[in-house]
Amino acid sequence: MYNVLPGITDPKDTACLWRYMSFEKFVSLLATRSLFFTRADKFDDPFEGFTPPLVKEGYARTLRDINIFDEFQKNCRKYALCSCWHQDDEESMAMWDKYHLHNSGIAIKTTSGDFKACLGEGYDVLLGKIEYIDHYEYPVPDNISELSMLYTWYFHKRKTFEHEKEYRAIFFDVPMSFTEHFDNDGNVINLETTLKDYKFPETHKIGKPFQVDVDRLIGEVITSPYIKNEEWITEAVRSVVNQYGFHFNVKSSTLLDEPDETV
Amino acid sequence: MTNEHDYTIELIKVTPMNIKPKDFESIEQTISKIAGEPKKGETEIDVFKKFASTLEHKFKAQISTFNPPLNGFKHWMLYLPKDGNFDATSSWFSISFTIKRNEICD
Repeated sequence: MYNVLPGITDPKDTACLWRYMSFEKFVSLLATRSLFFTRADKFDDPFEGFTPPLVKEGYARTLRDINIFDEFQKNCRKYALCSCWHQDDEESMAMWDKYHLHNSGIAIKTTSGDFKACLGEGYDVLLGKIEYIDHYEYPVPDNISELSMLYTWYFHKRKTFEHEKEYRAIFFDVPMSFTEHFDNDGNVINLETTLKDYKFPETHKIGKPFQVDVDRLIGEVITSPYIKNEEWITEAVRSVVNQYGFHFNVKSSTLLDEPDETV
Repeated sequence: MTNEHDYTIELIKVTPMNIKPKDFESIEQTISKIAGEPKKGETEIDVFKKFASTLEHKFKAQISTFNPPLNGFKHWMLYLPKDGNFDATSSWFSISFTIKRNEICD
């Protein structure tokens, strides 16, 4: 099941999504039929999940102490588990390079609609397109609730990451003991006390696998453009796909092929 | 004197993740039994905490997790590891349910 937060863009179901990954991760996806969601605090971007300063100031009247809120958000990042995709009509050379997938890389192609359809019933995720913003100039949005304040910044990144064209699914996996700090309407209570007393226990070391309908998820598999003239690698990937009982199309990337002079 | 009320937990679905059907059958039965027992609490969240704690204890889970709600607590999702903690294996299960306060009939 999935939800889209107010103000977050949900692309058309036909929008193409790509996931660039190592061969090992690809095999794990086939073998476990699960998509691994990674903790947001494990990503390189130190701004992940943080509220822009002008927004924080706008809310300081209710949250009183911005520093306390910063510490709270920092701790909560370990409970935001993310699956990140690249939204683009075409395969991206930059993405192959970003993930250093020179020899054994795999790109999975799907659509926004198939991504939603592959999710299982046993969990709730939020999904949508990342909005790239000027973190220090971003104004206070209208009608944003306190809880949305916690969630929504995982769908915002700085403009310096705009080339990633990211689409993201997020599973918020909060320890049950955290309910001590929610009131009956779902609002966080006693933020200062929460930080003083609460230990923010680890729920997962790195992240968590979620079972998905792999047949529905994967539209096509493309092997790295850097393995040109090594058709046997694409054939080996095709063979592994078949061994796990799947039959989706596997093909070699043509991004680094010589230009066709006959066209 | 407390402000406790009677509540009913209505299970919507228990979903296994990487759990064998034979093992899952007993998990499902245990959850149904605990959910069906009388519940008392001051609020829905109070009942949720007690229900989740009972399940954690029953399944020897070091930790259980839930999705914080976007619009009030109408539909709950609770997640428990099958083998103590979520990092032990990739086996876990989710429980979706509602908590309803029992109406007092005069």
